[in-house]
Amino acid sequence: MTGVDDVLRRWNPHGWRRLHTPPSATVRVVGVPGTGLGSLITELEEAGDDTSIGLRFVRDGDCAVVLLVTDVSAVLGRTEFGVLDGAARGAVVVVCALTAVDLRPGQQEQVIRDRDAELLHRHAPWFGRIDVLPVSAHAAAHARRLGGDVGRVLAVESGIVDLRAALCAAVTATQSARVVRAAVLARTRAMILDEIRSLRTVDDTVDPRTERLRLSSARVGAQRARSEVSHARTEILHDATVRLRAVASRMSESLDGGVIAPDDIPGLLAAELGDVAAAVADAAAQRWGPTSASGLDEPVGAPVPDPPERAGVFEDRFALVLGVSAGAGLGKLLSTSIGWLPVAPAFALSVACGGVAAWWLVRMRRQLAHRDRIRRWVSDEIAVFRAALDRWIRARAFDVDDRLGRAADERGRERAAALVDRIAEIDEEIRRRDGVRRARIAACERDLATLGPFGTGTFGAGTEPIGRVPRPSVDGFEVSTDRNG
Amino acid sequence: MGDGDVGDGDVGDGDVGDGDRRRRLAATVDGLDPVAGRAVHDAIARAEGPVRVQIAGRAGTGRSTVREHLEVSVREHLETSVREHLETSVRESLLSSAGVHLSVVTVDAPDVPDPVLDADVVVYVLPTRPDASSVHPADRAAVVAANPGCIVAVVAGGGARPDLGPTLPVHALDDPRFDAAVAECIAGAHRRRLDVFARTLAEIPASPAARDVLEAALDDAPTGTSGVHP
Repeated sequence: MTGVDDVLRRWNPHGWRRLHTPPSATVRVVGVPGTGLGSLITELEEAGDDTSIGLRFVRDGDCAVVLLVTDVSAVLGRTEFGVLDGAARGAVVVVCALTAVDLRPGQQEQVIRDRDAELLHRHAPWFGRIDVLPVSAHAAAHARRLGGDVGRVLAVESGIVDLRAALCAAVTATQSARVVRAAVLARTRAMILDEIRSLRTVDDTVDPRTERLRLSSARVGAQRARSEVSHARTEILHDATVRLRAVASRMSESLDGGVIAPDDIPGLLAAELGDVAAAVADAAAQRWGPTSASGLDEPVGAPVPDPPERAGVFEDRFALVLGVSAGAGLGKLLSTSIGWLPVAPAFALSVACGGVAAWWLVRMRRQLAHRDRIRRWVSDEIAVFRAALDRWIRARAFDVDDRLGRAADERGRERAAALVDRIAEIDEEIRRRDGVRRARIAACERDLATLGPFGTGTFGAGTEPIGRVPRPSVDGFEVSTDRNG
Repeated sequence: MGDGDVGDGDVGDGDVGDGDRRRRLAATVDGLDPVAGRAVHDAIARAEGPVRVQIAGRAGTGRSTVREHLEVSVREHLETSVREHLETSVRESLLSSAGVHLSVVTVDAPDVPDPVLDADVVVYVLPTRPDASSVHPADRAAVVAANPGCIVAVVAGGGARPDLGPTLPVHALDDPRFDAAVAECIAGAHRRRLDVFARTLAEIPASPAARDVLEAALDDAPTGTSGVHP
């Protein structure tokens, strides 16, 4: 198998089969139903007396000569070309018969005929210039019924003789291997050129290119949840402040109402602050996760120290003196009011009263001073605790913010890396498709070069003479094939 | 109103200047409610657009002959024979310059997709074929796929007429019934437009004052076919 043969077999299996089939005198007649196929075939079969060729007509099968039957009522359309393409895949010569010319004689027939020829040439340039031969099956039948010389002249007039002669010429031409080969080569060359044209025009890299543009113009940046962190921090701080205020007011109520002994206050305060610390820790855990990643697990708030000891100070002494003097005065007043007491008992009474009063006054003052100290201590402790809590919350928020920021940066980096990878993939795909396309075009061009040195676009260099109908001569009448000429 | 717009002597006073009346209605509504006014203008533009007639068929079947014939005959028919069946206002607007728009489209042309046959009226041109009763497959497919308001089939040449079934009679070009059928289709399309116009007016959301004007216009034209009186 030669290179040309291989190319032909791959590109044009029908044509290749034609090359390897012995020539026959069969003509395939095709057309859209309703164009008078049957009567035309009958007339063609009846018209011939050239038995040497043995012309036969079939309605289907793969034949080297195809007769496309169309009628004068309209110009060729997609339907007719569909029929022709289906029938003429392995054809060497196509002849077109324009039937029913008696329906629209004269100018109209000529217009339709020229238009059909032009459309046929544009649709299938590899067949060369296809002759469109006007014929009237009706007139042919009439001529056949008349018989004789008149009938023969009328038969020539009807166009049936021209048509049969053209078909005979076509069949004779297809007996030559050179002609068949040239036709198949022309058809194959057209197929390859079509493929190259479609490969050049259809760009299958449009989708990946669009995708690449979209990806490369997309913003690479991580959305950080920092605003959420600061929002949560504000809320937790506010909550802690409200709770601490409630603790402070409860403490002062307890102290003022005297419900609880001042000595029990530190324990109570520690418990209350512990509750606040636990609530804040819960809220933080709920919003920011169980624990910080950086090991910032210091206790929430600050431990409550012991309250200050009571101290004997200047006020004690002052109260002592005041109590002694007031008590002595009271004793003196009592002894004087009794009157009959002797001096010694009266003095003793004064001293006793002075002592009792001094003791009571000093005790009262100490209690008051202690309560006051405890109150101040409580408010101080709460303030210290608030500061500690505030510091803890801020530290925690900063920590969370830092963690989120790092995670977001990490995600952004990952996304950017994925994007770069994806773009590289798309570039690779575009290169691959371009390469495949170029390779296919190169393969097509190689095949085209294998087929021979014909210039591109000159279809049917070898088939051009086939379609031309030799002027038939009937009983000495020279008949012009150009009926309107 | 209507003083300056008296038309021909044979046209009744109440039927003159429907277009002017509509524009006046739109202007009034526009002054009361600009949004509704715009909607009225749009509806008028749709109602007053030309009736589209597609003359379809395969190449070479004589579509331009049919077109030339219709250009003359439709006007004549609308003027004379349909006069008694057709409201004067419909006839008047059809006879105006932009009334009917004829276009020729080609079916089954090589390398071109088939046109969509969706005009108000489709006149399908069939050829007389060697086998007289047969219809070309492309013609049959196009007639089946067409979705117009109204379709009329015609044979341009003088030959035998193919058979498209009982629902779609095929006319001859020189048959007056063909002209009558086309004219009736065009008038029907126009009537449908006026009905749609009235329905659109009824559905336009408008302020109460503009609504009153619209309702008054609709009350004056209950069928939507005899124009809208201000």
